[in-house]
Amino acid sequence: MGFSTLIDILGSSLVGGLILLILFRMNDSTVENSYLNSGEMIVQSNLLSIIELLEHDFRKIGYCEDYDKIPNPATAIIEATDTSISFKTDVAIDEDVQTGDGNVDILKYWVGSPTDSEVAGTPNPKDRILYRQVNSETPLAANLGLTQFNLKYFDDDGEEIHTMPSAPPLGIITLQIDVTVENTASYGDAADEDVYSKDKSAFWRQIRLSAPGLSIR
Amino acid sequence: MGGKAILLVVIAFSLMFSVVNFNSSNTTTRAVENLSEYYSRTNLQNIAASGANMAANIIFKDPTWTGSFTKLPFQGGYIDINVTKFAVDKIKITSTGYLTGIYDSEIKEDTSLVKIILEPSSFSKFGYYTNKWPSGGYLVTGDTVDGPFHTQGKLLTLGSPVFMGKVTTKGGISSIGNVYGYGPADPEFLGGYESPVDVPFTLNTTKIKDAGNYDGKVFQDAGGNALDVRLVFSDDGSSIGTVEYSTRVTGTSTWSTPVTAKLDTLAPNGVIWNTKGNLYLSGTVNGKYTVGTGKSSSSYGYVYLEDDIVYRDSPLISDPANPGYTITNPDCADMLGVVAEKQVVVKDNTANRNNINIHASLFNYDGGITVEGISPSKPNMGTMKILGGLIENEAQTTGYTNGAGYRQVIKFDKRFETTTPPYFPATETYEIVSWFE
Repeated sequence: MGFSTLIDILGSSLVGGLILLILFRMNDSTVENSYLNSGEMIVQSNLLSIIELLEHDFRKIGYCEDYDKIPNPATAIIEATDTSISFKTDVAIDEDVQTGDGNVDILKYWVGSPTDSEVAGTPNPKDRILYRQVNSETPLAANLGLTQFNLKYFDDDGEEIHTMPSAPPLGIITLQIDVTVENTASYGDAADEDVYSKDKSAFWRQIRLSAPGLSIR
Repeated sequence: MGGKAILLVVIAFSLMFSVVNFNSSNTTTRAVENLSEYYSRTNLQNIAASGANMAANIIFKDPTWTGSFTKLPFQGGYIDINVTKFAVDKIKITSTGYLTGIYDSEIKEDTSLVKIILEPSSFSKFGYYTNKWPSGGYLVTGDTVDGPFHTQGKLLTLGSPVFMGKVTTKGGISSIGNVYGYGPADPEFLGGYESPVDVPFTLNTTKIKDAGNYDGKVFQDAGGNALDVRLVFSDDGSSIGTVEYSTRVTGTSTWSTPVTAKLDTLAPNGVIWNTKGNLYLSGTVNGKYTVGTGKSSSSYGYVYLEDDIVYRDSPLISDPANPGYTITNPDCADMLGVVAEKQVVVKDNTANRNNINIHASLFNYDGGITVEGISPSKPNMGTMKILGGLIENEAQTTGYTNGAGYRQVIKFDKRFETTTPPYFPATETYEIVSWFE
């Protein structure tokens, strides 16, 4: 146990410490990458879930198995704003039988506010609830990290409708749907450019969705 | 010892990175699967919809076609198309698309269904149909057309007239504006606009006459002369109304003694048809009827309205929820179709010189509704209010800007969207009434 031994211990401690630091840093990076990748996939999955639901329902605007009950499909859209839509349709009997039961249903979609109590507790300050209500049933809600839900409406000339008539028909032939989804509780701190998380913000736009029912008869 | 330790460290690191790599690859794979599944489902939906469109296109060209396609290759998948007739004259198209793709995280074949129902289109579904559009005739700002509208010609608009129902034209549209004091060219099609759509103007009088012979009433002179028939409908308070009818040979002045008959015994199926001659019409309708008259070459075929022809209850009432709008009156169960192989004419008589109310869908095969002896020197006769629909070969004059004749108001009876008067003339084409996908 001489001076050289002391130097060996100090050197070993230094080298060991450096290796530990590298290991800790590598662990942090690995965990972060893992969370970010998972987060991105969650965002993408949530976005696809919303899209598939919207497309599934919007394609059926004006559809009723007993079609005499919606004699004028042009009047199927009852109410339309930039963040909500209400229309006549015939909701599928169940997952296996996609046709309706022959009774007209009123389906309404609308989006809540980022300050609603349902999302007040989430880390993301911008997420909001997308609501789906069939007739007067309790609205179904899901927090899929939606931060933008925007609808635009176009007439038969492809011109955007800025002023809706007070009652149907509203003259709507096609819709533009804008949806942005972020992670509801992401890893890390807020990133730049007004995006809450380091997970990528996923944006989807359906430029012109046309429900066949709007233009028949 | 040192070597073993290093080996353990390497093995530990390898295991750790294998787990991380597996998770990362798994995440990437699932993300790609998500997108692939969305693509597959969208493509599948488009394949099925394309099949339905192809079948509909064949039917529009040949309404008698029924048949099927099996395993028709399309867009990387294939389609089964089946076309069947049901309920006498309805057509159902089912198009099933097949596509192999990624569904539920595995590669397999899935299907998508599109189902379309088509029906013959009755002329009564139009709020306003005109075969010919007059050259130089414009619908202008302030004009409102209620109900579905169609013209076989080119629609001319000036400024921003409003069309409440779907508008279809064969010849397209010419919209002008910023002239004659009118605003910019901006017609409002609240029910949509589609062109070119061909709805030929046809009338099958044999079908109506056959229906009249089968279970209705057909008037026909035994000597083959043209016959004038006068029908005065009346509501006697019972569930079935009555009609008082009389006849005369056209060109003579003496009417036969009027006969009052219960409508359920005179015309159980609701069809009253005069084979050749003219029809004189008035009264209060109780039930669902189609009345009309045929012509011979270019003579006869006129339906003369001698007074109001109305239902017991107005078919339209004000919508309490939307002031200014009307809704169908649920208490109205009556319906009338008037078929003139020539045209409908409002008689210039005392009764009609103070407004006329018409509850019916009016079919004018060789002309349009007009007023007897109409000219700019006629007095103001008030308002001609049609609650139903107007189908005509070409618009005729019913009033002048100096006030002579009538101011015309046409409100569409929305019940005609789904219900027609019995054996009312139908188009030769089919229309899609239901689309499921």
